[in-house]
Amino acid sequence: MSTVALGEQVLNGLIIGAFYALAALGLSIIFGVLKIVNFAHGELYMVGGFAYYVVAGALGLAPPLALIAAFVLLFLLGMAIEWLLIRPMHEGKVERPDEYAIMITFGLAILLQNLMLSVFGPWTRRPPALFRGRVEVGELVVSGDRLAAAALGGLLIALLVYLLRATLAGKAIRAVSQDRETAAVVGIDDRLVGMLAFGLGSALAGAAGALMGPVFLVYPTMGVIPVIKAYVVVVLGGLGSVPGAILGALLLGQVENLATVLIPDTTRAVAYKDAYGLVLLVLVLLLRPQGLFGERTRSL
Amino acid sequence: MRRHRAALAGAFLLVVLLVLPLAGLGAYWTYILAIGFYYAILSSSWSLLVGYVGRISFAHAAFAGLGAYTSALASTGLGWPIALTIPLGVVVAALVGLVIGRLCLDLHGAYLGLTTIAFSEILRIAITAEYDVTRGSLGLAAPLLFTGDSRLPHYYTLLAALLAALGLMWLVLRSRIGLFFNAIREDEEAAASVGVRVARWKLVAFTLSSALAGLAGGLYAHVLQLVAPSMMSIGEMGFILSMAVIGGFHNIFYAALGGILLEVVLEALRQIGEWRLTLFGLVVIVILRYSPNGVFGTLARGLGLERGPR
Amino acid sequence: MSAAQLVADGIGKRFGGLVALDRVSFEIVAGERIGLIGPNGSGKTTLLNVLSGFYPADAGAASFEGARIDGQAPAELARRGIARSFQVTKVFRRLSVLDNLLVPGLTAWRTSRQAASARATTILEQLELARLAGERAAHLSGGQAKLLEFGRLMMLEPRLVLLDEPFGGVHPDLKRLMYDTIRRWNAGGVTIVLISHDMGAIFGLCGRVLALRNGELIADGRAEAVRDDPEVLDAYLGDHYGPHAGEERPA
Repeated sequence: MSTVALGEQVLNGLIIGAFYALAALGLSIIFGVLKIVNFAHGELYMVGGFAYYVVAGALGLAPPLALIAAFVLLFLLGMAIEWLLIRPMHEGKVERPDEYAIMITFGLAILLQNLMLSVFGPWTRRPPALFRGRVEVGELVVSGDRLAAAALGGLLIALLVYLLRATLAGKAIRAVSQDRETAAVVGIDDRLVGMLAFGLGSALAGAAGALMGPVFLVYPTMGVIPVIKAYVVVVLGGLGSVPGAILGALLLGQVENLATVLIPDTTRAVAYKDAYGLVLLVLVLLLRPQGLFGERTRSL
Repeated sequence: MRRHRAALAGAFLLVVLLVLPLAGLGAYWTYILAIGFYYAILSSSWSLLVGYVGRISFAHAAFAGLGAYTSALASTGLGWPIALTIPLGVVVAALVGLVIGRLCLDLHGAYLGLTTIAFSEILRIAITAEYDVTRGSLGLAAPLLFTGDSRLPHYYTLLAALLAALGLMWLVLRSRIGLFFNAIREDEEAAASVGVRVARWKLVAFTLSSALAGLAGGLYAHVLQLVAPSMMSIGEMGFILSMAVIGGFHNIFYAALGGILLEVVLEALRQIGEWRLTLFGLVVIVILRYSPNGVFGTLARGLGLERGPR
Repeated sequence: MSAAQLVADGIGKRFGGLVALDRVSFEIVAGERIGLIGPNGSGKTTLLNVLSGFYPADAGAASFEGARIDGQAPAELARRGIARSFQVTKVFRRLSVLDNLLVPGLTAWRTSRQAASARATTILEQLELARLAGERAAHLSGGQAKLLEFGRLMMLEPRLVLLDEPFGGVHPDLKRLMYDTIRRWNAGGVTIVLISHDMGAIFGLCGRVLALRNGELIADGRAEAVRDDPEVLDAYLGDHYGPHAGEERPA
């Protein structure tokens, strides 16, 4: 295939990778701080998409403002969820916390998905895009809204990395991720950090949904496939590792595109597209559970 | 005395279920209850894994699908009699369960959950993609289990299968194997240190529960006359989880009742549309948070039917 | 001299760059009571984990009654007569006290439930836990849970018992009961290896003591001799108070 076409594939892979990274980062932060895998992450992504749709579409606010609104809404929702459902785990009110976390986030996923299905119906909606038209990068042509969404996503990721490295809140989050007890002993309010982490994680998922909504459409089951991608990315990079998630996302974006291109039978190759990441996930979990960049934690 | 009370309650329920279709339940509700029995096999076999051994798998619906597709393909494609293809479905589901269970031996908690989701989705995608064999999302037609107009044979077959499944699981669980399952759930290392062959029993549990899921799926295929990849979806897994949790996932009988109850409620509330499932999600969350014994667990306690240190 | 029951030959164990055990060798004869001491991080629990099958050894070999034990699964070693307790109490919390004992009791298929229950009840009586037989193990106090762990080990009818700091935070009355149990075990021919920081327990119960430091065996002999061994004192008391305080360390 020509270099231009290959270049476009790589660029598309990068764009998709940026989306995956945004969706996955929230998951990573939640796992890092609260030590749980949030099985409702896909639905939070979806609620973000709907929030953007309602604010930008129905209420008519400018897209960037709608994006911020979606972010804030999901932040608040995430904090509420943590306070109501997750916090009891860390307060000894739940008998088997690990089991509980898995099942209650799964239950939350069921609730959110069907709630949105009930309120909005199964039909797809197209919220206003951030930028229309095609963009030319040298010889490569790429759709403008995707590029804009990916760029904004990248900006958000950069902001997040800055937040985690340079601000007090970010350092508190990293401290609690490394050792909750010690962080508490040195005066960090670990419960507040937990709530902030779930809020932030949800907000990132929601932002991803808001950014991808105009590109891939908004509908109640829109989160089901992306969340699986998010799991793959997070496991690839190592649960809890932010740089790992970013690298894993870029890797997955390329693997999916290239695998589709390299496999001869095109219709089957496309049909299996979503499976490549899953196979990767299984391989990583079975062979190197700490991911490509994570640390080896004690098993169990 | 308490043991007798529980057995009596169970016997009463059984009699009710046996007599209902003959006492004028009507074809529609007979059919719904039969589907309820399908879900009851799934939710109770899932609860075996989750409640007794402490391992949460999200691949359960996929095993039902494996049983269903195997039976459907063998009966339509190969022309084999259903009496042969359903057991074949069980065997396939059991073998795949053995392999996946073996691979996942060292995984726990969310890692196990993620891996089983991945396996489930890989199977579903593969079945959808191999259009030439499986007709993809359109689904595959399967011959009816019993020809003729009456739903009664299907009802009683599924009920018999449910009773057989519950009976088999109960026999295993009340034996020392059940004790080993519980020990593994409580503390794997301690169990190993006192001589429990943890790997072996985890495999037995996983294989048994997958086999039963395969049985349910196989029967379902020939009652519904259609198998589609959607029966292996994460949404279906959500149903199974909800039914087990709402019924009471620490006990195979409560989980089974949860399956029947929820299927009935799902149908009864048909008018409110998707809100039914929203309600289920909410109830699941509330029960997990405040009443983990589930509806029937709490009921049984209230009626003094339970014994043992719970 | 009678044949050795437990032989450790050059056992080594690394965790990444950390050397947890370094060429640990010793022989134990059946029926001995051995204390295993050493400062925190010296490798005592690691050694126990290797001997009970929870870690494979990276070097060397261990054998019990003539057969290799390193690298075997914990369940197999339990069936071969090696029982161990854990530093953090690991009872089966949601099972009844009686069921906790039935788990090891029923691992042998030919043992019937009645026989196992009868033995379990006898053991519970010995441990003064009989009235709690139907209670959930989670409801036991810390000391009672430790006794329950002892009971679990007794059900296995082991020939070698490895105890990892069993006396932590235990009430003196219960401690006495535990001492009696250990002595009774030993009187019946069971070999005891006891890890403890409680020197009273070590020197009260054990005739021979092994001392570890940074994964190395630095002393192996009669309890009184080890107690006075300067290197052991140095390991515990270190740079300021030990016999080598103020000296320059050899390279």
